[in-house]
Amino acid sequence: MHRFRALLIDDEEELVSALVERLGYRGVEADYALGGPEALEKMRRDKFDVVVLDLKLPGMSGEDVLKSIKRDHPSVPVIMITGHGSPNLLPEGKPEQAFDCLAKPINLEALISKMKEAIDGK
Amino acid sequence: MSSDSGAEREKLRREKDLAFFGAITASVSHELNNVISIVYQTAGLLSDLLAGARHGRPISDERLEQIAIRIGEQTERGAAVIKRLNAFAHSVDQPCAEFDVNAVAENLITLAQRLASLKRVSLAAELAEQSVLLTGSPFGLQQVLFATIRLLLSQSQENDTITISSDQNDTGVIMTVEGRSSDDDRDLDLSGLEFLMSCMNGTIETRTKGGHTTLSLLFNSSAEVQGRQDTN
Repeated sequence: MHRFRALLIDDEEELVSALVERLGYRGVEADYALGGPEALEKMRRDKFDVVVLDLKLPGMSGEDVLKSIKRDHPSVPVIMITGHGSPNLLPEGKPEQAFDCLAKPINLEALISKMKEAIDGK
Repeated sequence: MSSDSGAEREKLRREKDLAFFGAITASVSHELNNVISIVYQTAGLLSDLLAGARHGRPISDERLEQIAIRIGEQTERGAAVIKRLNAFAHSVDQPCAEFDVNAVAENLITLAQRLASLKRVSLAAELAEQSVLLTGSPFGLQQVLFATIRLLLSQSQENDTITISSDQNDTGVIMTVEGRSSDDDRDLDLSGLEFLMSCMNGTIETRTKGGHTTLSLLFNSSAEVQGRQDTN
């Protein structure tokens, strides 16, 4: 698979900055945003092949960010991440427009595998 | 009160108790999950850097120190969250006791801040400097305070502040919660809160002025708690 670019969206900067650095050591070019407006602005400026998005964001909710991304960049798959023990326990289930949903704490190798699957599957 | 309506009231109270307990523990578990996630990825980053060092990519002492500090800070954050959860969990130990309203309220306000932060709203505690003593249910007090905060959160906007204060006079304890009024001046639905206050033998007063709503929760000094009996 060719190199791809990922955008990680989560308000916990220490988490996303560590993930971005670790992804870089594995050949994945990644950037992060701490909230919806910042993420949407970055997506207007740069091309991303996949987005990883926290369900619970302050201000603009994860669901609203997902809707905006799918409206403006319909071909970019979005993988949701949740602090629920399991994505199956989400009160309203996995958001319909999301490619998949992973539970925190995220295993990095599983995340990379899911990102590749999402890019291949679109 | 007939036995049927008494049983229905008790059933409703227990449902609300559980819902409140669930809301707080869910919020805490989300925060702890974030703490664990940060520690997990930071430890993973350290492994990556050490692997890099073995292959000729040295790590600076400053970088190692930065990583150690981050793990320490997140561990302290997690410990503080657990301490608050522990205090909350133990607030059910005694259905009726004399307690310091300020200490209980302060813990609840901190626990509720995460929910407020999701709406980018701040909770400001302006509690009385001296202890404010109440005989009643510490759990019940937190429950009504949480319900009041949630009510005002429902009409708050980003960057708003909800202020919580406490006071005491000859008749009892007053907790005041102030926030933004709704844009369309519709009245708040206080039925749920009124029910909870009745379980605490308390009353609510509402005042709306200048775009702000103030809810005053009035508790009698030595309120016997209705319906909260030790079932052990």
